[in-house]
Amino acid sequence: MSAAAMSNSPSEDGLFTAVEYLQMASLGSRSMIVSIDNGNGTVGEIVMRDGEPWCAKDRLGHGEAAFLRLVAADSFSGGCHATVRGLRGPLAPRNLDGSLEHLLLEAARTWDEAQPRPAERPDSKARLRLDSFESLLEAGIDALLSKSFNDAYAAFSAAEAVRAGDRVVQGNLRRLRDLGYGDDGER
Amino acid sequence: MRRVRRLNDALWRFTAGAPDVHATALVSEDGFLLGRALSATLDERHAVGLTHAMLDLAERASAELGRGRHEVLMPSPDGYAAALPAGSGTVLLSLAQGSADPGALLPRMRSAATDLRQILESQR
Repeated sequence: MSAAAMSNSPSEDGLFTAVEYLQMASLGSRSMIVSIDNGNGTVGEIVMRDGEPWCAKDRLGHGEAAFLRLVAADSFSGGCHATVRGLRGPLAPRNLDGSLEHLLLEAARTWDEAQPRPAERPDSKARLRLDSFESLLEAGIDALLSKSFNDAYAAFSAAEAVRAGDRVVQGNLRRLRDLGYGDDGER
Repeated sequence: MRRVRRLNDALWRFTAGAPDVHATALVSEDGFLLGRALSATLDERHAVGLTHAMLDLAERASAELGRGRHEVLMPSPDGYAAALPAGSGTVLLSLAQGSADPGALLPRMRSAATDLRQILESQR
C-alpha cells in the first residue's frame, strides 16, 4: 500500500515493519502515525509529518530515545508488529530532530553498542550473511535473465540456505521446480 | 550498492510515491519474480501469473492491430492492474485501488520502468 493510501486509512496491520512504514512516509512526504505493539498492547508511537520524523513516545519517555527504543524493538526483537494510521487532530509538539536516515542509523548504532561483545560479533556475522544473501540473489536474477535456469536454481538454493524464507527466492525456486529444474528434475 | 538492492529501492520508491498503488512487482518474461514491493497479503505466484497472461494478450493484440507498444491497464471493481515492459525482458506490474487516477498511473509506471531499465542494463 502506498504511503498516500495509508495516511487515509484507519490502520493496516502487520503488512510492513515500522522501518518500512517510516521509509515510505519519508519517500512520499506523507504524514502518519506508526504504532508499535508487542503483543500485549501498544508500546509506543512515532509520528511522521510531511515525510519528516516529528515526535516519538513510548512507555519510558519521549523524543529520540523513544524513537531508538521503538525501532530497535520492532526491528531486532521478536513479537512486535507495526500498524499505521492517518494523522488527525491536534499534533503533539515536535521532539525529533534530523532526517529519518540519521535516526535509523543512530538506532542501528545504539542497538549495536548495546550488544555483548563476544569474540565474533553477531552483527558483523549478520552483515556478512546479508551481503552473501544479496550476492546470491543477484546471481540468481542474472541467471534468470540470461535464461541459465540450472544456474539460477543453484544460486537461489544457496540464497535460501543463507537466509530462509525470502519470498522472491522461494517463489522462483518453486517455479523452477515446476518447470523441471532443480533437485528432482535437473535438465 | 548491489543492483538487486537498487531494483528493490526503485520499486519501493515508486510504490510509496504513487497514490493508491498497493503492490508492485518486477517480473521476467518467463514468469519469474525479480523484485517486489507487494503487500504481504498478495500472493506473488498469482500476481506473476496474472502479469504474464495480461502481457501475453496485450502483445498478441498489439501485433494483430499493428501497434508497437504493449501496455495494459485493466480496471476491475476492486481497482486496477497495470503492466508494461521495463527492459531486458522484464515487466513492471502494479496493482492500485479503485480510487487511483488511471491517467496518472501509466505515466508514473513508465518513469519507474525507465529507472528499472537503467538499473537492469547497468554492468552485470
